[in-house]
Amino acid sequence: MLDNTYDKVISCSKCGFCQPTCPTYLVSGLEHEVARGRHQLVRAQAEGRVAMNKDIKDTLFQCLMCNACYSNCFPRIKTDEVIARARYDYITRYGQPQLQRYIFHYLLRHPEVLSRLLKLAAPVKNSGLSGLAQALRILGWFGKNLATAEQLLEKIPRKSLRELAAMRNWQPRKTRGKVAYFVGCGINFAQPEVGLATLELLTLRGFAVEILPNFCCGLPAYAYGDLDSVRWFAQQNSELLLATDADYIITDCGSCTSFLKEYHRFCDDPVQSERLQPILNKIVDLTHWLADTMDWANYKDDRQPYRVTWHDPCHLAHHLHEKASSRAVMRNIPNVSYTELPEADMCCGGAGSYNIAHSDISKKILARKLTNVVSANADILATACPACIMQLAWGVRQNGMPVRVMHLNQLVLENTVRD
Amino acid sequence: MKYNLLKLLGDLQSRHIYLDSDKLAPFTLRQTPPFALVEPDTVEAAVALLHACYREKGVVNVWGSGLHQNIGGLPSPFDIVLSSRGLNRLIEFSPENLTITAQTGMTLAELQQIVTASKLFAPLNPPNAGHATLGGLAAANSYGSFIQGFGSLRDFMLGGKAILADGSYIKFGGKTVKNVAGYDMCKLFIGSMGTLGLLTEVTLKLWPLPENIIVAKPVVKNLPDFENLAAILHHKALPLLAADCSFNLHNGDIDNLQLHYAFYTTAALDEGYLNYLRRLFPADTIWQKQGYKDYQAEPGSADNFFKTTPHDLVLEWIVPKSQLFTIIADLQQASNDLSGAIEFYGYPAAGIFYNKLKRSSFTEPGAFALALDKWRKKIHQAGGFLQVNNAPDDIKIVIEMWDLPPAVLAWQKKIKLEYDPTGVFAGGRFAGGI
Amino acid sequence: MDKKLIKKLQRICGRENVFSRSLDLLLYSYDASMEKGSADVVVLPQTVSQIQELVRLAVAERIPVIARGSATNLSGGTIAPQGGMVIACTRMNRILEINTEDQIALVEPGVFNLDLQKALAEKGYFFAPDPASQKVSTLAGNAAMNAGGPHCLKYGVTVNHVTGLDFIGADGELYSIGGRTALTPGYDLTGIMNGSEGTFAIITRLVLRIMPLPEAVSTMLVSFADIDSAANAVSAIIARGIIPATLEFMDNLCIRTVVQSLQVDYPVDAAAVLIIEIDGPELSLASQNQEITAICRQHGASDVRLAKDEAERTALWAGRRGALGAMTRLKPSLVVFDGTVPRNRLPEALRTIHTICHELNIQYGTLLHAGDGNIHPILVYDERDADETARIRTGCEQIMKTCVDLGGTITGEHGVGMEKMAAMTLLFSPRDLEAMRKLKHVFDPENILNPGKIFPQLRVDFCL
Repeated sequence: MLDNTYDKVISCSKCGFCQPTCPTYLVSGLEHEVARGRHQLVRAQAEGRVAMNKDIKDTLFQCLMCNACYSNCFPRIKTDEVIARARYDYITRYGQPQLQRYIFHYLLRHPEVLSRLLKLAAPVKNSGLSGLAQALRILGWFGKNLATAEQLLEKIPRKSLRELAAMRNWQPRKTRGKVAYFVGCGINFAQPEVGLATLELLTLRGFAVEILPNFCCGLPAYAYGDLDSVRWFAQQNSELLLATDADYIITDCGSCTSFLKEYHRFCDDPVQSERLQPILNKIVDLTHWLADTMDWANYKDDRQPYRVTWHDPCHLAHHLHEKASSRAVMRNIPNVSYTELPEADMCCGGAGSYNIAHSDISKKILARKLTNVVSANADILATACPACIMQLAWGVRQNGMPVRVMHLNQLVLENTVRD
Repeated sequence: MKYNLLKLLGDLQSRHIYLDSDKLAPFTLRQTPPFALVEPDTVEAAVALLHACYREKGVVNVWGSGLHQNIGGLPSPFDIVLSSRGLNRLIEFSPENLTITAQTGMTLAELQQIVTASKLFAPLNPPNAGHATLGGLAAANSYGSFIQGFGSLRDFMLGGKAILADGSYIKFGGKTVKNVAGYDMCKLFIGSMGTLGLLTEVTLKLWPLPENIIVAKPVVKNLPDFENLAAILHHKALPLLAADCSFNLHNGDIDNLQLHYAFYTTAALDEGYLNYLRRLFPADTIWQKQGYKDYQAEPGSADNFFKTTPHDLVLEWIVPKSQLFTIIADLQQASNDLSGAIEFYGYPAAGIFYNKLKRSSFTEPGAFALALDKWRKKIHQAGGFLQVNNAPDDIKIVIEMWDLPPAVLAWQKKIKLEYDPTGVFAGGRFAGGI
Repeated sequence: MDKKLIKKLQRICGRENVFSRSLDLLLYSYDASMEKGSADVVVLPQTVSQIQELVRLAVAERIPVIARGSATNLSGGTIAPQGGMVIACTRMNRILEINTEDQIALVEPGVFNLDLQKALAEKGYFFAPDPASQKVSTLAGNAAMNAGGPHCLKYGVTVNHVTGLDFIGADGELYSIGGRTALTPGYDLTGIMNGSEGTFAIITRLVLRIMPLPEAVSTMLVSFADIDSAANAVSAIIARGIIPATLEFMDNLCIRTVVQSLQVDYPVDAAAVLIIEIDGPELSLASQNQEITAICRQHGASDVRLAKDEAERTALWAGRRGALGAMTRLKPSLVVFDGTVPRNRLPEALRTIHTICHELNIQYGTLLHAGDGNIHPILVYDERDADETARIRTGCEQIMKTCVDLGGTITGEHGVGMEKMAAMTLLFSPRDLEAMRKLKHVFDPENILNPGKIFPQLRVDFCL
């Protein structure tokens, strides 16, 4: 192994404290499906005690990379880093699946192509002609798990966020400062309405917005161990981040935020890495920004409060350790009566495209989440990650639950007085 | 006269062998005195005796103060009474560690005297047991009202030494509360009724002697009042030392219902506690503050209740706490069929009650056996157990005194066979004739 | 393992619950201790009757059976040194009943201790045993090892809180012992089963005694400039007739490490701290706190800090509970010992351990459940370094010997497992061990259940 992954796994004391935090362990009870087991596997592999064969695939690839284990981990091992590295070694040895290669090396590096393809797919998908869509290899992203993928994606928007945003001028009346908005792929292609809400909120609170012409943050590639692609995305986006003169760089996808903040790890050039550090500190998640600028909000107070509960996206809760902001924002809205969701910071099973690749485990994890949602007895389930929204909304739809799933910024905007 | 016994005793060459009939008379059970009384004053002598018995097939009945000798079924014949009274030395008293180690012939009163001098106590107060030996108390796992505040010996015997049937002298446990080195052999010996080995030494965990005791005597007229009070106290974490309850049942009527709660506290706190407790108890409760010594010195009604004659029947039952009053109500019904009264004494916070009945309430043993079956069934349904502690011999013959589930009994027989295959330790009295 | 046998196991538990690839066996070859050993097959049953059939099959085929929960064991109790079948009860994790009227809880074997605590707290109750691993260790594991924890000082260890058990014996039969009552008649089988380390039976259900939560709790952190003073203060508090709910001790290295890793507010320059918690009715706490503070000051405490609210209390405990794990930051591996000495021998024990580790050049920190005299020296090392590992093993032996010499025991709460088998002879004569073996023989005459544990492997026979 090239990096210090081995040093990390060898410090695992096998105490097993990760067990009650690990969603995949809780639904399986298997040592294969918990950080301790994964660390020991990676270690044994490095020490040549277990043959590198395809048996290890499930253990490596079924990790959600949610890092919930980190909160209970005494030696502070970031399991996602260990797993990403191990997956890299795995695909280096066994090759990367064609589809992933197509996505990470072509589609995501040419977002205009992806955008065009989705535009073609949209009417087809939205009218339910999935066979045709698959024939066009557009939803073929998801390979044999197309059926699951299809169910998850309720509709494909006809216009991406970038296109919609370009129709308007995002200038506030009074300017308090300038933010750069990093557009996440999930928001751009699947949930543009969330992005529009972000843009509106930013301007309403007095910030001029620069929409960055960014690429994918690279997290999907990271999740599949394609560290070479990660470097490419990090390199491209870093240039943009370095170039902007905005006071903050904001995203409304917790996953993007946390991953952008780790770009220095993927920068081989020490000079560039040093230049990056102060920029990375300017990256702020929207939930955090909403809490910071709470005093400038002008909220409605015009109805019986909704009962609202909150699901912590893993990248906010376990990577950025940002759990207080969202709750502070919601508690501050007069129309909201907040109740804490049991096990709020446990993964929903969405985990990027995990729900497509490992739908069985994902469904079990989602079931646990939905049971908790029922017990919270809320009208609205808010969160701050497009993948979580997609997963939760799907679960809610499937079970006919009377709960609206929405992004925190939608909830905030809905309750903001627009003058 | 058995040759093997003569040989056995001859081999011992001990000063502490008594064969005269006046010495043996107090140890008569079922009208038969033993062949000999041996009272070793060293462990080596006891080892030699048991080893000889093992070899020569002698049967030994271990005898401390004799307090528990009437408990259980009819004893099978034995040759030798092994008195533990000679083994009564204090081995180590460590007030800093709250432990005491003593030989098992020491009496409870002797032990309490030693430890209370250092303001400590062993929370063990079986009725009339001042002169009972530590060995006997452990063998029978005897307890009194303090079980409600501190548990039984099972919870505070930390270790000890014993001589097994083959004469091997072993130690187990230790002198610390936490100890998981190997199996917890203490648990094996506690409550084994002396059927597995001769305990020679025990280490007990001690507690600080309560500085002050607050006694509450609530005036309750009937069972529903009592039930209400019990429900209030049930869900509170209180510094309970003991709770005693007694009443009589005659033809379905409750009579002379007495409750007596004791809480431990310190001199600095007793006013505060008193105010605190007053809020929980009914207004007409009689309150009393006293030192531990005075509390102990008061003649206990438990002592009176348990002063039994051979013609008394004493039943002991224990049920899950929620079932306590259901069972009392059932017995109230049952008392209608009896000519005599049923006396009740109990430790309500532990779900333990005793019933005393007169032998004369039953025309013949069979009638009692039938009634017992009926009660047992009810108590089993409630998830509890009913055993007969004391009964005249004619009744002992027709009933099962103990109340062990068959599976437990089967294990018990296997354990006995493993540790005492030849039956060195006299049997008969324990469940299944062990 | 034999293909036919695997098929049979699959028929019992379902294909997806039987694991026998080399990868599977690797993942079940360790627990939280230094020990290792590979099973031949791992099964995850979901019902009691499946366990029963598994044990029956194992008996017929004469293969060892090792029960496993969360495998947080620190002595190798869940390792399979002689191969065989690991039965992991992690999927049997339902709380079946919480009955506050009877003050019992009925649980399946694989319930995490803390999950039960959370469910109980909602009803104003708690289960007293709280091993440091309570977040993750299972209740059957707690019972099998007779686990301890900080609150044992006041409330006793696991065995004092288990009133009944269901188990599958080595004959493949299901037995139910004890019950919902405080005591049950006959030999104390429930008591014997606790702490038998899975060598008697497989526990399939537990009846646990639960208690009403104390009305109020108060926690304080007391700093000392030297270790002896702290240890003496412990004895003095108890001697005054105060039994705190917990009385925990941490030395300077533990303090510094935990401060670095958890950002807790502990005094980094103190030689030792005591974490003292008392509980009871609200009104009883203030005067006890004053008394404890006075005693600590008399014994040279430099600082006494009382947690003002629940948040501060939680923060104080986070430091203590995180201390063991934090030590892994110093070196990748650690071994923690749990010998126990009579309380008044603590200063001596600590000095001797210091000498031992100093001479062997071992880095270590010390945690104590001081109130019980239960010491937890944490020795850190790198297991890739053979020389250091050897020194650690020597150190461990010497520490255990020290505990025995001071009138204590080799293990207070972690159990013997594989790790301390040899050390059993420090404490017990061949006769003592033979008496224990008899019990093993009663429950498991064929030595099917968790073989290769507890007893020194070289059997020393004796003659009369």
